[in-house]
Formats: sequence, structure tokens, C-alpha cells
Amino acid sequence: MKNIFRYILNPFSRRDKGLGEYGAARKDESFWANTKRQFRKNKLAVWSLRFIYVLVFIALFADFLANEKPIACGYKGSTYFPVFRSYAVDLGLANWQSDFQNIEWSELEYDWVIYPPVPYLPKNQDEKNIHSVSPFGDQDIKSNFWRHWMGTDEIGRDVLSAMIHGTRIALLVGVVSMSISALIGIILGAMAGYFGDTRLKASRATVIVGGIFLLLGIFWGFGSRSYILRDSFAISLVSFLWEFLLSTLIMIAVFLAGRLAAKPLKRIPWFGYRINIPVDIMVSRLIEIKLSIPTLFLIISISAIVEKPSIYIVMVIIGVISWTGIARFIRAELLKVRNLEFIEAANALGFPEWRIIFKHAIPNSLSPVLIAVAFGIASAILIESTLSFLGIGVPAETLTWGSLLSAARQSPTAWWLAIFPGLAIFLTVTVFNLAGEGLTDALDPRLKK
Amino acid sequence: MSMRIRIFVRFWGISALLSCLFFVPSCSSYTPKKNEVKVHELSDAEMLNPICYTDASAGYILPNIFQSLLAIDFKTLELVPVLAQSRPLIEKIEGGKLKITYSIRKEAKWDNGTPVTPKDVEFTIKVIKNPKVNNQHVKPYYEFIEDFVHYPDDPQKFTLLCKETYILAEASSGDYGILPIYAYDPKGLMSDFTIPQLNSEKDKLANDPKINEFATDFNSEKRQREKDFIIGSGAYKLESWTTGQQIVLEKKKDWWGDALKEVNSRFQANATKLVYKTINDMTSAIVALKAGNVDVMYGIKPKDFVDLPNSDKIKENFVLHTPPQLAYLYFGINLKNPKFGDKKTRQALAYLVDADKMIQTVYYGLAERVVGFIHPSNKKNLNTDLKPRPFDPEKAKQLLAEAGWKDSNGDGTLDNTINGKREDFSIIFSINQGNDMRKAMALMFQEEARKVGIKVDVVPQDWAVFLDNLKNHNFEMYCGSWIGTPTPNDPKQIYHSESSLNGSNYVSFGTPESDAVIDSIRVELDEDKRAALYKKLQAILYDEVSYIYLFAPTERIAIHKRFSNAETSVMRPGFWEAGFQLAGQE
Amino acid sequence: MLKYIFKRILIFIPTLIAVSLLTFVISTNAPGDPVESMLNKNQGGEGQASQKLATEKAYNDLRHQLGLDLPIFYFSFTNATLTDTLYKISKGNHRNTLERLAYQYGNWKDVAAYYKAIRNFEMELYYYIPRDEKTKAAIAKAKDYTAQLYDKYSDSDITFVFSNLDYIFTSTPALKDINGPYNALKRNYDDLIHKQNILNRYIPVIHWYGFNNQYHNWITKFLVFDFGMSYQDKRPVKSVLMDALPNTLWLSVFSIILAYALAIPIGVRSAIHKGKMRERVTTSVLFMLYSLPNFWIGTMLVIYLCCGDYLCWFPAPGSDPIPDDAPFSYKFTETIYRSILPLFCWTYASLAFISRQMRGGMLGVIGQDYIRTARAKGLDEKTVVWKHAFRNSLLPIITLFANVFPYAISGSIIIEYIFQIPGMGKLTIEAIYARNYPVIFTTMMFTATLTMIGALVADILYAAVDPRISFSGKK
Repeated sequence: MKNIFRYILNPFSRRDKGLGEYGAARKDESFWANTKRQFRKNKLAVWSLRFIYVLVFIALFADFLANEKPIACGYKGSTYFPVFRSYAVDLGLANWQSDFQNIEWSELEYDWVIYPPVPYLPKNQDEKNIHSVSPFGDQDIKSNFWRHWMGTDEIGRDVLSAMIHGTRIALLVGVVSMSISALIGIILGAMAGYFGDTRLKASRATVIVGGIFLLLGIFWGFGSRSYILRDSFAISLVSFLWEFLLSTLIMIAVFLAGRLAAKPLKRIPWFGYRINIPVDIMVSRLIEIKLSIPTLFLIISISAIVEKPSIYIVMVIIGVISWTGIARFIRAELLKVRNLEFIEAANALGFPEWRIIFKHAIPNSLSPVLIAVAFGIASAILIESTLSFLGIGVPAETLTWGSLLSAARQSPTAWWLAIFPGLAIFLTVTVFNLAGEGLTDALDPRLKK
Repeated sequence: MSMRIRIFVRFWGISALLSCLFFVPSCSSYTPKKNEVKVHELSDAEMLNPICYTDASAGYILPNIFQSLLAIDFKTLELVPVLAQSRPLIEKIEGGKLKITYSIRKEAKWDNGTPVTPKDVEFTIKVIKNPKVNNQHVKPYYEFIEDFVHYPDDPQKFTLLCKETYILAEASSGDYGILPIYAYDPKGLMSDFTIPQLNSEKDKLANDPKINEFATDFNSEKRQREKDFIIGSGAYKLESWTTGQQIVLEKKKDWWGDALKEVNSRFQANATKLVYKTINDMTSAIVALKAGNVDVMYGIKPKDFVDLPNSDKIKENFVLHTPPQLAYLYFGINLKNPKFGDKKTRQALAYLVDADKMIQTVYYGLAERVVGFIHPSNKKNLNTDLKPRPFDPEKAKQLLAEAGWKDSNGDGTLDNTINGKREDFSIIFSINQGNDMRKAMALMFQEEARKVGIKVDVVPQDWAVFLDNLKNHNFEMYCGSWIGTPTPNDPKQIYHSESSLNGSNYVSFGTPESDAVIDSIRVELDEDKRAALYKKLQAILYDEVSYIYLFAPTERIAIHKRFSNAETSVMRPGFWEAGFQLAGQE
Repeated sequence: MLKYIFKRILIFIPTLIAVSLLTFVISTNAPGDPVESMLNKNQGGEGQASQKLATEKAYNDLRHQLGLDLPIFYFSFTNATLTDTLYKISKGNHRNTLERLAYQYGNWKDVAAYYKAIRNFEMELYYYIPRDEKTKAAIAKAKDYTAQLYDKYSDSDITFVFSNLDYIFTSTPALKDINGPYNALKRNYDDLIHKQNILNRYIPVIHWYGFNNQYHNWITKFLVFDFGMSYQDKRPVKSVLMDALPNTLWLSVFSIILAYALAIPIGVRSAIHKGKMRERVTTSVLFMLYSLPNFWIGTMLVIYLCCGDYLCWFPAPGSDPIPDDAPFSYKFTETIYRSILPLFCWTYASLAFISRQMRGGMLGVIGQDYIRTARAKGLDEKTVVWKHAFRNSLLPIITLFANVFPYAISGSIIIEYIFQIPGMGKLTIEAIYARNYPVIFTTMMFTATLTMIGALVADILYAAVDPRISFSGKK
């Protein structure tokens, strides 16, 4: 796994230059090195990956690309770096100089100034250019430097700036939420598909005592701490995650205690009898239950405990609601894969089961999952727009690709509110898809000829 | 190669099929000669039962089917008699009680030819008070009717005995649609009960089999939406109802009210057919308007409304109207929150709201500043000494400093000592989600507040949650609006401190002085004296700033040109579609 | 196989129970109050309210009539700080505060006593007849502070309220008469804080409520197909659903057929022609469609093609409904004609995803040995692809297919709004907004059933297309 990260970070490294382009996989070549070589053969995938880097760059440096504050300026004889300072202020490390507190940055008279390429933040309302000014229309601006290159929205916010800052949100939402859902989906789906209903066995003692202790664990971990959890959620996500971790630890501890308690019971013949744990049935029913409950209903309920909207909550919500598709794909593939010769062989060799699942079974069933994830990233961006529409998404003053699109529906003539975010989403979906496809192909042992 | 040809053929086959379909005549053939009015409604009416309905759409449709004793005239905005011969005689009797005496028009007839009698009125009141009928939301408003008196010598005359003197007693004593006994209670189930009995023995009667039998029938689906079971004395009857699409009302032949056309606008029923088209989506509705599927559209978004004249179809066929609307928007401030405890803080916030800019940006100029809860057009009650607070950040800063807000830790946000703790001035501003105009207004306020060092978080909430939070005073600031009627304004529901617990005084406003003024407004039947009290209340509210009053938007209506007499009114929805007449047919 | 199917159908029952329970849990914890929503409508999204607003009496009556004042379930599993009668308190915020206090101090009895003392003191204030203006003002203030106690649970907040009340009492000597209840209230609060028993938090308790509970009342009726009364328009849920379902079914079934009929060949072809220009163009177009949300495309189509200011290719919104007595041929063509745009909007986005999955599945198969063997045998390409490879590449498509059944009745909110289709999507969303639980529950149970059927069909199909998959467990 370490290798794949290194690879994703640096696919163009020439460390393995010596390999012939069309040469057969060298015997001493590692699995990942081979994958890497295969991936590089796919030009489209490589370009897609490069484009993803560009997106990441925009996301990371959005504050330097579009900002109301100058990157550097001279003011009343001193030199300042407002954008850098804003990071310190946001982290609570410093305060603004009194000259710069709560001001309109564009109205100051600087000695000299270096602005970012786009001199607006998405929240800035240009009151001279309200009511959705077209990119090509007449704009009431000081000079072309202040031009709104992608137009403005109803209350005069700059669309280009929103697009740049939206990249950060889109990537965060898309990637993080899909990671969450892929994690949940792969684990549950793999267990269901691999173990089925008959392959996981445990003694009655473990099942019964474990079940009771699990219930108690949930009670002590979550029931008794419900207010602590809820309060921490209102404070910040970090404190919530910490409390949540504590609760989970309590639950696991109680559960493990239950397993210990079950040990002596196993000696009694009836309790010691090993029964099947129908993993597949349980996971499949869980998926069905999840699918039966309208997403919006779930979201509204979750929003009950959210006092202020935040991007992290959006990521968690989307991640938690969209794992079922991935789980199903993995399950379906594993149903097939588990009966293949090489798994049987691994089984016969006595490899531990988790190792078989993760090392052999899952990599062989990644193709539909990668497609689902690539599409999922796009749909997460679109779900985010629905969420911001519901007020559960990002804070109201934050513009995202999704919220621009929903604004476009209100102003059908303002095509720039739809085309630019639509194009951005299109490019994102496409590059993630192509990169994902490249990866699948590279991973597929059958294609490595 | 062969495959390519086949695809080619297949493709053309499909497009040929599609292009055939394009020529199916479909754009509804339009016959402008018909005197048929098609009105757009944003949502389908829930039911056409005049006692149980709760939604606005039904409220607009029902007066065409059912008539009440009194109603507000669309033109004069006065209470006018409809089923009643004239406005009632109101007498004060001992104990502050009222006697309201009506007489029903002799010519008033039901569909089966029988006259409308006081018995029908009494029956209707009994239905309202039947403990099992699904109208809990209005029952408390008719509790003031204590008894019903018939006069053997005059079969058309009756008197309502009312609990207390109240400015709205007249209006609410006659504002419910009258039901015919013969159609709604053929078995006479309700005849065994009297009004006093229904008032005092509610719990006992709730188990009475007759009460239950009647209520089951009355609450049933057929009484809500089947044309044979919805019968009133109005000019129209339900012709068809396609759920979620349209409701069609048809003019009755030989309607008794046609003879009274000149009496007041409520008797002007010229249209032969009223069609209420449900189109939930505003953008689609505007396309429907342009296409001629809708003749009347109201509540058009300001942005769309100013865009309408750019369309040739609109210019050719429609007249746009902007009558004033008895409504105002405001920012509410929760007075229970200690950070808004100082009056000066609230006044400072009012100076930070650039209402004129909001009118221009969000309402495209289609609104009028207000200074209080009285609409500017209501000259009699308006307190002209008060001037709307201008947008003035300097003044706001000064007031905030006077209230003790200063940036003591240099982080750019003001702070103050509240309940013994040093707190930053941050405000959570709630809005109901999906309302982009309010969101824009909140964001504009947020920007101005940020510049003086107040941190505002705009939080949109699902309507049910929003309402819940308001009711429980669980908010800091919010954006809301109130809609009034031309009847006398009873401020108790919104401004009296008692309404903080169970009413709509979400901000918990109320000083002993204001409560006293409101209490006297409610019982002052003399209009001039009442006007003085209204002015006093406005002055108190202006000074206390529990609400930051913003503006009264104008209504935005488009009506087809072929109706020559289409007039608009401040009365919602802003027009009287039944009275529309084709040009040249007056 | 039959045994397997039978077993699976048996499992439907616990799943349905789980869904119904979960719905109940969520709905009782969801913010917003159905009774409040019934009494105060959100008129046209403007959030206006009329002056005729309901009083508390109306609220309680309605709540009782709807049976919402009953316990939720047969039993409750909580900690020992809570009592089994909490549900009887009608006001949600009171309930929450009391629950919280009980949690903080672990002693329900004292909490109850404290609550009673607040109510008592409030009553005293309410019935107190002030003799002068100053007392009147003081009473009004005191009422206000007392009401605040219903929402406060943190010690600092409550003591702050008490300090304010203390101040009122000392500055208005006339209030001496009601000093008694006030002191009782303060004493009760002292008791509450000092008799803490936090351990109670960690003792699990099961309260038994009996059969007269909301869940029991609902599920017993549900089992005999009595779905209750819609809160919104007070019609039977059955007839509400029967109005909405056909509109949705007609469109969704066609859209599903269309989506699969188009996407599968596209997917297969793009797998065969992998890397060629034609495939790339198709892929790009599909991705582009996928990225443009259907609410925007739908709106654009209505504006430009539906007789607005531009073209008049399709019927404008608000066209008269097709009359019931029209000849069949007219009805048929007209229905299809009107469905073209909604069908397009409903279908285009799923094309990309389905075809992509098909392509992925196909690519996984055509590289395999038996395909090469088939090719080597000289079978023509078409037979190889459609006869040998196709069947084996269907796995991901079948997985998707499991969603088809619930999808068919769930409808699409946005398309239904834009194209005036009174269908299930609109119904469900409006029910959710209005907290119209009878409708939500019923649609949810239907969705659950169909989801399960879909999953079962998918599992059977897995085994049908790929003999290696078996559910018998013995392999």
C-alpha cells in the first residue's frame, strides 16, 4: 500500500527507466513497479493524473489565486503580507494590524501592491455589479484588472473566485467522502461476499454473550454518553471525533470483555457448539435498510444536531450515505472471486483469511468499485449542491460549484452560472474516471502481457 | 460497413419517429373568445372544505364556491355583506359581551332552490365546534360565539351572542363559508346539539356516536374533493379536479347572485369557468404564462417580473400590475438573549441594515420602506413622525460603544461582558431554507456587520425546524415576514408579551406600556381613538427595536390583456378572477 | 434454489420490522413537529404565516387526535435516570430539558419535583393580581424569566435566572405573597443539585409500556393495509398513493428500460472499441451529460423548447390534462409526446454510469482465456462478444439492477417539479418537509419491500449468469 501512495504522488519518476517499454514483466519486478509501468503506458490516464495535480494545486493555493487581500503591499511606509497573515489570524496565532481590521481591502491607498490574479473572495459583494453581470457584458469596474472574468451572481459575487475556492471544497468533499464510503463499503461488502452465510463460524457462547456485551457496550459507550457526544458536536468536529473515538473504545472494550467472559462457557457442550454467522444476510439486510430510508429524511435528522453548517459534516454525511453501492459491487465480485482457483489455493495453503481478502480477493474486484468511486466523486459534488440548498452544506456565504449550479436554476438566462461549474464537474469526473480506469487496467493481471 | 449502415438506418428511423411526434398538435388550441380565466397556483389546494382547509390555495378558491355572511370588498377594502342583507347590528350588553344581529338576504338560494336560512348558519357554527371535525386550527377563534338566537317573527334574522368586546368580533362573526344543512347533514345528526352544549361539554360529546358519525362523514375524502359533495351558495361549482394539475370551477346557470351584480364586487361573477392550474415550479410557470396556458399569475419573483417585459409574448398579451401588499419583512431579534438586552445594541443593528440596497438588489425596487407594522398606504393609522432608520455604520459604531461593545482583545470582533462572561459579538442568523431572497438579504447584513466587527453566521433551516426554533425562542436573529388583511389589525398575536409563550411573539417583546396599549386597541371600537393607540404602539416598537422593519414588497401580478376590467387590490391574492370580463362584453 | 428463495423471503420479515423501527426512531428524533407543521403551513416557501395562529389548546387537541401523545414503542431501553412517564409531557422543549437535567443529576424524582415547582410558581405568577404598574412590570419580567427555566439546564444559566428573579423579589416588596412558591422552587433546585446520583446513568433500565403505543397502533393497522390518514390533506394515505404512483411508474419504468437498452450496447461497444476515437467521443458526451445536473438541463429544455419565448416543440407546462374520454390513440400519442422531455431528463444521467459499468465488466471478460479460445476457434466477433463475453460481464449491471425496483416508485423530485408530474417524488419530499409521517412510513415500507425483492432478484441473477456463484454454501 505504501508503494501505491508513493506512486500516486510521483508517477513520473524515472527510477525504473531501464525497463523496456514493451518488454515482458521482469521476474524480479515487484507488483507495484509493474503496475506503475502499465499505468504509464496509458497516455490518457497519465494526462488525467496531471490534471488532477492541477486541481490539487488550485485547491491548495486558492487563497493566493483569488483573494481580496494583496499578497504583498506597502502601506504607510511598511511592507505587509496580508494573505500570509490571514492564515496566522485564522489559526488564532496573530491579530490584524489595527489599520487592517474590518476594512475593505480594495479601498485602501497602498504605496505599492501585489494582488492575486483574481482580486476577489467569493464572499465579496460587488455592489456595482449586482444582478448577475455577464462575463462579456458591461461591468462597472475600475480597470480590466478588476474585471469579473466569469461574471457575477445575483448579489455581485465573483464567479471565477467562487470557482477557484470551490475547487478546494469540491475536491475535499469528493475525495474524502468517497474515501469514507469506500472504506465502509469495501469492508462490509468484502465480508459479505467472501464469508457468505456459511464460512464464518463461532461458538454459541461467543455469539450469545458477545451479543449481550455488545449491547451493553453500545449503551455505555453511546447511550450513557449521548449528551457528551452531542455537546462536543456543537463545539467542533475534532472534539466530536475524539469523544466518538472514546465511545467506540468503550464499546470495543466491553465487547472484548464479553469475549473473555464467554471463554469458560465454551466448555459446556451446547455453548461450545460452533454455529454459522450469516454475515452475508446481515450485511445485505443492512444495505436494504439503508436503501429504504429516504436520504433526505436521514439528512434532515442528522442536521438536527448540527448547529452551524460545516464542510466536514457534509463530507461525513455523504460518506455515510453512499457506501451501499460500493459494498454491493464488492460483494458481487467476491461472490464470484471466492470460488476461483487461486483463492482456493490460498485457502488450502492456510493463509489467514483477512490476508486472502485484502491481498488477493479485493484487488481482483476493484474495477467496478473504481468506476463507482470516480462517479461518486462527481455525485458527491452534486449532492453537496443539494445539501447547500437545504442549508446543511457549507456555510451560507461560501459559494461552491454546486451552489452556483443551483443559483443557475434561479437565473436561467445567466448561463455563466451553469456552464463554468458544469464544465469543472465534467472535467473532474472525466479525469478521475480515466485515471481510475488506467489504474484498473494496470492492476489487472490479465492485461499485463 | 454493414453495421454502420444499419446504425445509420436505425438512427434515422428513430429521428423520423420523433419528428412525427413533434407535429402532433399539442400546444393547447387557444380560443380567446371564451370567458375562461386560468389562474396559476404554486401548490395544489389540499381540500375544498371551507371549514377544514388550512392552505392558502384553497383559501383563494373557496370563496367562489362558498359564501360567507360578510367579506372584504376587493375594491373598497371594506367589510361588505354577502349572504347577510347588510352589515350586522352590534350592541354592547352587560359584562362586556356583544350581541351581533344579522339578517340573511331573502333571495339567497341553495342549488336545490331552497333559501339560505339562519338554520344553515347555526349548523355551520356547530360544525366548526364539533369536537371531532378536523379543524383544530380554527376552533379557538370561534370560541367567542356563545349562543345563537332565532327570531320566530323574522325567519331570516338571527343574533350571535359573543363572549367579549373585540375589534375583530364583527369580521370573524361572519367570515366562515356557510354550509347547506340539506347537503352536509341529511340525517340531521347535528340538530340534537346546541352551541352552548358544544362549548361546554366538549369532552363528553367527543364520545357521542352522532357527533362521531357526523364528523366521520364530514372529514371524509368525498367532502373534500368530490364534486357532488361540495355544495355551496357561491357562483361556481366544482367541475373537475385533476390532482396536482388543475381544479376547474364552472359558473352555475341562473345563479341567484347575478341579480345583485351592482351591490358589491363579491357578486360580480362574469367568468364562465375558473381554472386553477397547479405549477409548482416558478420557472415553468412563467413559460406556461408565455405559452398562454395561464392567464393570471401572482407572486412572481421580482427578478423574473422585471425580466418579463423583455418577452414579446408578454408585451403583446399581458398587463403587469404591482399593487401594494399588506405585508412586511423584518429581522427579528431575540430579546431573551442577554447579548441583545441593551436597547442601544438593537438600535445599532438597525443602523447596520441597508434596507434600500436590499430593495434594489433583491427586490429590484419593487418594495417600499416601512417604519413599523402599519402599511404605508394606511395613512390613518400610520405614525408619520417616525422615519425609517437610515443605513449609518458610524452611528451604529457609536451606539455599540455606548452599549459597552468594544474590541478589547484586538481580534477585530467586538466583545462585551454578558452574564459575567466576556463574549465576542457573534450572531447566528436563521433563515428558512430555499428562500434565496432572504438568504441574499442575510448575507448583505452579514457583510455590513463584519465591517463594524460583528460576526454573523447565516444558518438556513428546514421550515419545520425553523418554525420549531422560533416557537421555542431558540434563535438569535431571523428574517421573517407578516401578512395582514384589511380588517382591523389586532397586534396581540405578534406583539403582546402573553403571545411570547403561545403566540407568534417569537422575539419575546413586551413592556407593560406596550401590553397596555395593545389591550386597549383590542377593545376600542372607535376608529380615531384606535388610530392614536396604533401610533403610540408604533413609536414604542420603533424605539425598542425588537424587529428591524425592512420593507413592504409590492405584489407582482401578470394578467392577460383580453380581460378589460382586470383590477388589482391590496387584498390577497391581489385580484378577483371571477369578475374578469372580456373586452367588448361589458 | 427454491429453498434459498424461500429462506430469503422469510428474512423479509425481520428486515421490514427493522426498517419500520428505524423509521420510528428517526422520526421521533427528527427536528420539527408534525402538529406544528399542520397548524402553520409554509405558504409557497415564503415562510409567511397568517395571523390566525393556533393556540396551545389546538395543539394539544390535535396531538391527542393523531395519537402522538402515546408512548412510542412497547418498551424503552434507557438509563435509570429517566422515568417511564416522560412521554406524557407534551412540549418537546420541556421534555428535552428535563431529560437533560435527569441525565446531569441522575435523579428523576428531584427533577420531577423541580419541574412541578416551576409550573406551580408560574401559575402563581399567572394568577397574581398586581396592584400597581410597578408590580405589574415586575410580574411580567418574572414570568419571562420563569419561562426561561423550561429551556435551561446548565447550572450557571439557572443560577443566573434565579439571581434575576431574586433581584425582582427584593426590589418589589409587593411580591412577598408569592415568596413561598418561589422559595420552594429554589429549594427544589438545591435538592436536585445536592442529591446527585450520577451512577444511575450507567444502569440500563427497560420500561414496559404495553400495547397502547404509537408503533403498535400503526403496525397493526398497516398489516391490514390501513395506512392511516395523511396529515397534510387529511385524505387516506392509500388514495394519496394511488393518485401519485401511476404517474411515477409510467415514467420510471420507461426510463429504466430506455437507460438499459441504450447503455448496455454503448458499454459493450466502447469496451470492444477501447481507445478508439469514436469511443472517446461517446464517453466524453456521456460524462458531460452526467456532469450537468438534470435540474438545470430540465429548466433549459422547458424554457427553450416548450412554447415560451423560443421554440414550440413540446407542450408548455400547465397544458390541460388529457381528458379521460378521449380516444385511446389520442391518449396514447399525447401521453408519449408529453413524456419525452421528462423521460430524457430522467434517463440521460444514468446512461453514463451504467454504460461505464458495462464497459468495465466487458473489459474484464474479453481478456480472459476462454474468449481468446473462442476467437481462436474462428467464431465471428459478434458471436464471441454477445454469446460468450456478454453474459459473463453482466455482474456489475445486475448489481445496479437491484436498485431498479425501489427506483421505479421513488420518482424524481426535480423532474416532477419541473414537468408538473404529481408523482411519488414530489409526494415524498412534501411529506418529509411537513413531517407527514403516515405517508413517509408507507412509502418507506414499500421501498423497503421492493429493495428486498430487487436484491433477491439480483442474487438469483448472479447465480444464473455465473455458474461459479452459488448460494447453497457447499459449492
